[in-house]
Amino acid sequence: MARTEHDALGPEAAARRATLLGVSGIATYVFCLWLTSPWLGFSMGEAGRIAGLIVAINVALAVLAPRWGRWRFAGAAYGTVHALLLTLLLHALGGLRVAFLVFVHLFPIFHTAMLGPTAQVFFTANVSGLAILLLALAESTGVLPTRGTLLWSVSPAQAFAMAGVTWAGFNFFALYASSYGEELRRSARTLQDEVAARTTALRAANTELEAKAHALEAAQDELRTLLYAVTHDIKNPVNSILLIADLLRESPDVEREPAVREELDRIIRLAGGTEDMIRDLFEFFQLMASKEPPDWFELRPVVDEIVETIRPQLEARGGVVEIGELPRVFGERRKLGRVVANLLANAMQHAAPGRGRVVVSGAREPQRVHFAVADNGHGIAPRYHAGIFELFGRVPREDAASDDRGGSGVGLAVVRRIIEAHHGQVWVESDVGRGSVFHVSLPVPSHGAGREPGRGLAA
Amino acid sequence: MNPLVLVVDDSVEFLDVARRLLEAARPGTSVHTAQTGAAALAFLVGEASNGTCTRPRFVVLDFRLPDMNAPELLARLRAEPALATLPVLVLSQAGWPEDARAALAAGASAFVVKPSRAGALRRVLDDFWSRHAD
Repeated sequence: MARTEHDALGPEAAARRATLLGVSGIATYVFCLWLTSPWLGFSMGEAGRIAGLIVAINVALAVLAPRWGRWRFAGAAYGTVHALLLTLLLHALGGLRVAFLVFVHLFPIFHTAMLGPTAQVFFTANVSGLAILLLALAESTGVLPTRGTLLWSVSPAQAFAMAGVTWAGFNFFALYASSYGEELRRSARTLQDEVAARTTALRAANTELEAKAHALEAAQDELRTLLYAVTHDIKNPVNSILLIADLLRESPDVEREPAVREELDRIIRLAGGTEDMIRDLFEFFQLMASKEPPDWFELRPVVDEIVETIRPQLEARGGVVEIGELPRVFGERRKLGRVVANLLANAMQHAAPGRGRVVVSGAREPQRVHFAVADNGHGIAPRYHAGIFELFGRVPREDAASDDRGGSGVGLAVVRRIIEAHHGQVWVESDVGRGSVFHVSLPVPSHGAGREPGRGLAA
Repeated sequence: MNPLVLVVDDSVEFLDVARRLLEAARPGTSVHTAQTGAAALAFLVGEASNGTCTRPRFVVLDFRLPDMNAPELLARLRAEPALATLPVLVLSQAGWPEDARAALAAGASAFVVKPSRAGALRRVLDDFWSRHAD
C-alpha cells in the first residue's frame, strides 16, 4: 500500500492544515485588536506576547505535524492548550469587561473537531467554559487584577452570568462543530478507502492489460512472420510454374499441337490466378504491417493518379472513367489510396464490356466524408453483398456475368479492413442487372490534432 | 570472348529458366549459377582476396538466399576492388521498400520485383543487360 496517497488525506495533513489555519486566524485576530485598540482601550503589549506565543506554537505544530498528527488525544490537547492561552489573552485585553471577545474560543473548539472525535470537542468546549468561569472568579476576587483601560466595569454577578452563558454557548457550538467534523472525517475515510481500493484494482487491471498487450503484440508478430514465410514459400514455386509454362508455351512443338496449347493455357491461367491471389495477399500484409500518422489530404489527386494507371486497361476494353467532386479526407494516405485503387480495379474488372463506365464521386457531410465508386456492370445479387468483403469472398461463377473474369478475392477484403481500421463503413448498393455502387463513409475528427485545416469553428 | 553471366537464386527452377532466357538473348552467352551466397562468393572472389577475381558481365541476384541476403553479399563483393563496379541486378519476390533501400545502399545496380511471367522476365534481363553491361 502506498503511504503517500494516504497521507494526502490523512490525519497528519489534517493536523498541519488545522495549525496553519490557527496561525492565520490568530494573526488576523490580533491585527483586528490592534486596529480597534484606540477605541476599546486594549493594552497590546501583553496581549501581543501571548498572541505571539500562540502563533509560535502553531507554527511549530505545523512543522511537526507528521509526528503528532496521528496521536489519539491530539484534538483535546490542542483544544485545551488554546482554550487556556486564549483565556489568558482575554484577561490581558480586559477580561470579562470585553467578554464579547470570548468568540475566539470557538476556534480551538472547531480545531478540536478537525483533529479529534466528538468527545474531545466537548472536552475542549468545557475546558474553555471552565477557564472563562475561573477568569470571572479570579477577576471578581481580585486574584487577577483587571487589565486594560477601563471603559466600563462589570459586577461579579454579571461576570458569572456571562461566564455561564458563554459555557453553555460553547457546548452548543461544540455540538455543531463535532457533528460537522465527524461527517467530514467519515467521508474522508470512505474516500480514502475507496481511492485505495480503486488504486489497487486499477493497478491490477493495468498490469493485466499490459501483459495482454505484450502477448497480443508477440502473437501478431509471430503471425506476420508466419504469413510472410508461407506467402513467400508459395509464391516461389507458383512463380516457377508460370515461368516454365510460359517457356513451354513458346516452344514450336507446343505451337503445333492445339490440344496441348489449350491445356497449357489453362495451367497458365490457373497459376496466374493463384499468383494474383498471393500477390494481393502479400500486398495486404505489407500494407497492414505499415503504419503512418493519419492526416488530412485531398482525395482528388490520389484518384487522378490511380485512374491514370488503369485508364489504358479500361480504354482497351472500351470503357470510360468519370471523376466527380471529391472531398478532403482524414486518415492514412497510403492505405486509403489502396482503398481507392482496389475499388477502381474492382469496378473496372466488372464494368460492362465494350461500354464500361466507372464513376468516382464524393461529398463532405457534417460529421463524415463519403465517397463512392460506381460501375455499370452485371451487378451483385443482395445475398452476396456481405460475402464479397470477406477474404477470398467472390460471387460464384454461375451467378456472375458470363464474361466476368473475377478477381483474387482479396481486394475488397483489404478495403474493408482498412476502412474499419479508420472507424468507417464500406457497403455495396447493387442488384443483378443494375450495376454496383461501392460506398465508403469515414468519420471526421472534431478536435485536437485532427482538426481540419482551413475550417473554422463555424463549420 | 563469350559473355558470362552469374545467376544466384535458391530455386533450381528459376536458375534453369534464367539460364534459358539469357542464353537465348545473346548467342554464345554462358551462364554460371549458384544457389547460395557462399557459392556465389566462392565463384567470384575465389580462394584469396588478391585481385584475381572472376568478373562476369553481370550478376542476377535473388534478395533472399538461404545463407545471406543480397545486401550482405553485395557488401562482401563490393569490398573487392576488381568487383566494385560489377553490375548487379537484385530480384525480390516480396519487393519491400526497405529491402530495395538496403540493396541499393549496399551497391545494387537495380532492384526489381521478380517477374512471374517469362515475357516480363525476358524484358527485365534484356533491359538490364543493355543498360549496364554492354
